[in-house]
Amino acid sequence: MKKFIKVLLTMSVIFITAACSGNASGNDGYPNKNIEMVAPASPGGGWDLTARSLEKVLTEQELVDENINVVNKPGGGGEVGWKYLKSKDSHSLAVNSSLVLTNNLLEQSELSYEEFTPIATLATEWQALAVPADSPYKTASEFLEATKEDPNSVKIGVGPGLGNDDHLSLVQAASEFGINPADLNFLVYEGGGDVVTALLGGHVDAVTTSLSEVKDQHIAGKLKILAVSSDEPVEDIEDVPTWQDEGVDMVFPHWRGVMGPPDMTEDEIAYWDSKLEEMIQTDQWQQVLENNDWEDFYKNSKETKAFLQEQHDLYQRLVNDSGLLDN
Amino acid sequence: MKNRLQVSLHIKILGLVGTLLLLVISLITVMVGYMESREDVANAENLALQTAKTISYMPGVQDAFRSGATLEELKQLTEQIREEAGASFITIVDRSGGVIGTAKDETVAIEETVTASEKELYQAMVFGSSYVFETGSEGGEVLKGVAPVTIDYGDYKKVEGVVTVDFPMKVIHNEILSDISKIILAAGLVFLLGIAGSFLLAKSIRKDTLGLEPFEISALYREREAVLQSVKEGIVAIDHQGVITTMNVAAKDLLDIRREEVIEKNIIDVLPSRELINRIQSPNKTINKELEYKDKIIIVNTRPLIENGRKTGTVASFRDKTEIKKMVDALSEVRQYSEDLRAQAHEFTGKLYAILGFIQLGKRQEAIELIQKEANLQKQVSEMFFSQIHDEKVQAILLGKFAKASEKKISFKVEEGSSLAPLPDHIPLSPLIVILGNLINNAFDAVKDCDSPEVSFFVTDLGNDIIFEIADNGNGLDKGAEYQIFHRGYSRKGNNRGYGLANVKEEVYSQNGAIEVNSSPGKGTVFTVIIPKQIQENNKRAGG
Repeated sequence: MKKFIKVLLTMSVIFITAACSGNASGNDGYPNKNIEMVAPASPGGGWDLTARSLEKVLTEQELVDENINVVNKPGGGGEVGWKYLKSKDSHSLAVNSSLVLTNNLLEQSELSYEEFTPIATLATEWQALAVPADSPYKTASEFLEATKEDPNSVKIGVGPGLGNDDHLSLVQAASEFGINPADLNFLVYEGGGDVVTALLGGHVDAVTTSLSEVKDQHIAGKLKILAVSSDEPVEDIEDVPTWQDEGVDMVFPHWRGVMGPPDMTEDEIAYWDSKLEEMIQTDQWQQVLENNDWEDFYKNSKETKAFLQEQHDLYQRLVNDSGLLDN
Repeated sequence: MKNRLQVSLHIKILGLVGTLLLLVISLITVMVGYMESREDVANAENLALQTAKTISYMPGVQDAFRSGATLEELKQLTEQIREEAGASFITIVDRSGGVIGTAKDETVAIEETVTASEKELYQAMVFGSSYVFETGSEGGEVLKGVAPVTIDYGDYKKVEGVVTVDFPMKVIHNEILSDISKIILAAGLVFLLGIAGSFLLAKSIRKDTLGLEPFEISALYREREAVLQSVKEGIVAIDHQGVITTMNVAAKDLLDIRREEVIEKNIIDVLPSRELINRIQSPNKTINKELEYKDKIIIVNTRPLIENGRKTGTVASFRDKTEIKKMVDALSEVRQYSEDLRAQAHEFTGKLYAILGFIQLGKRQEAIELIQKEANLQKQVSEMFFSQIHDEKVQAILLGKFAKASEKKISFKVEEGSSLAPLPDHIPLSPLIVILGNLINNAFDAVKDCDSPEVSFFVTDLGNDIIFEIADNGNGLDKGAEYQIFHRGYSRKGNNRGYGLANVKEEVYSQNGAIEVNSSPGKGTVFTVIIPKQIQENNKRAGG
């Protein structure tokens, strides 16, 4: 018995020592090895662009001394990349967007945003509702009125799938206007480009998509943007009203951000807060925003956490029944 | 014994094992049951979802939506699927919520077929999600799988309708119940087996313990321990590694081991004598082997315990040879006294015959002279004894020695001025026998070759001490021998002797006394023994 207790004591001492030393080395000068920036999509997409922009600016502005490597993990609407991130240590970060919330809400993924460490929200795009240049609908209100009248007669193009921000922004706008989103006649196209093509080809009566997809065509007069989801008029197309101008109380950002694996320490979060805050103030980052039609939407880790919670509640309402079917 | 709770081994083991088994088995049963029911529900959910999805993808359904087929055409198809999957209710609705296909299990009551509400179909309709949920009224709960019917029109896709598949929870619950009852049955069996096993275990233990209950064994053990501790013989037992398993008090005393904890210590660390350790650890048994240990001679017996040809331990016993020797000496001393008295009796008989002879011959004068001479001699002896030496123990010893002296023609005198009151009770007979017997015998031995052998005895108890003085007129000791004579084994009488003076010294010391020797060559030797009258206490001695 005595021997047994002795062995037990010795073992626990070894474990405690090991655990302590493990902790100690973990906190020692973060970051201390190459940083991995996970883009949960193939090269060329929005997430990939965000990841590579981050890598470029952080490295060229010499904000981070360690090498930053962009890793592409496409699949499952971001799920493959985020699952990968979950298994890594704090030297891996991943780009995210609202899909990290909606995937779970629409039961397409087990991953919850709460499992990750929010690092920052970086930039946003705005959503646009566009119609052909010769459309009978001159304003967003007219469009919504007509839709409310006969939902089936108004074909709306969206892509690449239901439940993305393009789709959800119009779902929200419609429900704010008092239309049951279930009545909306959505045609699902392969991607943003196809949606615009369908609009220009007269196959659909309206499309909901990112502003950047339709902005140039609008300026060129090939189509007409009825409303943008921003809170203020957007540069270059100041004539386009916001949804709020149209009487629909909605601001819908299509944001992009960065998150880390679970259980990052306060110090590690503080490191990224200071580095990213510095980064967004550089001219190079401002140039990146301008080039991509992004808008600065920076929120630090703490603010991002609150923002995610708020967005989650919004999406949850949208996804369940838009609050219209409570009876 | 009876006032304490004495449960038999059977009950104890059955109770303990039974409780433990019950605990473990119920825990496992609950866990397995919980997991099993979760799995049953998950399986049912999966089935509902997959059935709904399958129907939504079926070409017939897809075609019906494309071409606007009638309810009748779909009826057979959905009925067939419903049958195969075991669902209770299937509906296919279009975007406006109109039912275009349905199939229902006729055995299910109408109120248990619940048409999905608009809210329940919202996610499928708006977002094209597939999901499963529980719904329905109390008693008629169903698991509802929902899947959108997405039609691919080439350029674009569109959610055109929704399929819902119902599985009654009652069926699922029944399945869970039957699973759980199987588990409980298995658990019950294991429990019975466990009880039977513990019963056998208890029986087997009882067999090993010769049918004794544990408390009886512990009582026996305590008794054995008490017996072991009470015997005078030193007993040590070691196991095959030399670790001490038993050592009684006598062994500790005899082997002069001061440390308290010896059990579970290795014998090599406890005993200082290499020879003794070798003897104990040897695979052969030892019988009555005498060994020198510290300044004692001990008699060692060892007995290795052999089990299946392997040595599993050794039991060793020790006796103090010195002590035995002392006993033997005292015994032979006593025997000597009776021998001597017999010799004296014989002498007296001879003298009586002489007197009888004188009387018969009519030589009265000679007879009277002989009687007077003897009477004087006896008177002198008895006067000396009985007037001066009042202690009966010393009287007895001296009487014996007188007899021996007269037999050996040695003049043995008690010096004038000797006096001895009865000795205090704390001085027992046996040390006196050893001290006086040995010293007087030695003196007799020393004078046996002299022309006029004389040994004198003097005793006085004036003052605080009793002083004995035994003087002889022998040849005296060799120069320097004063220091050796008290050592064990020193003797001029031959081998295996030399215990006498050593024992004398030991006994004198045991009475807190002192012994001195004074010898001049050719003139004789004087031994002086001083024994305090009172039991010594350190402060008294310092004060006096």
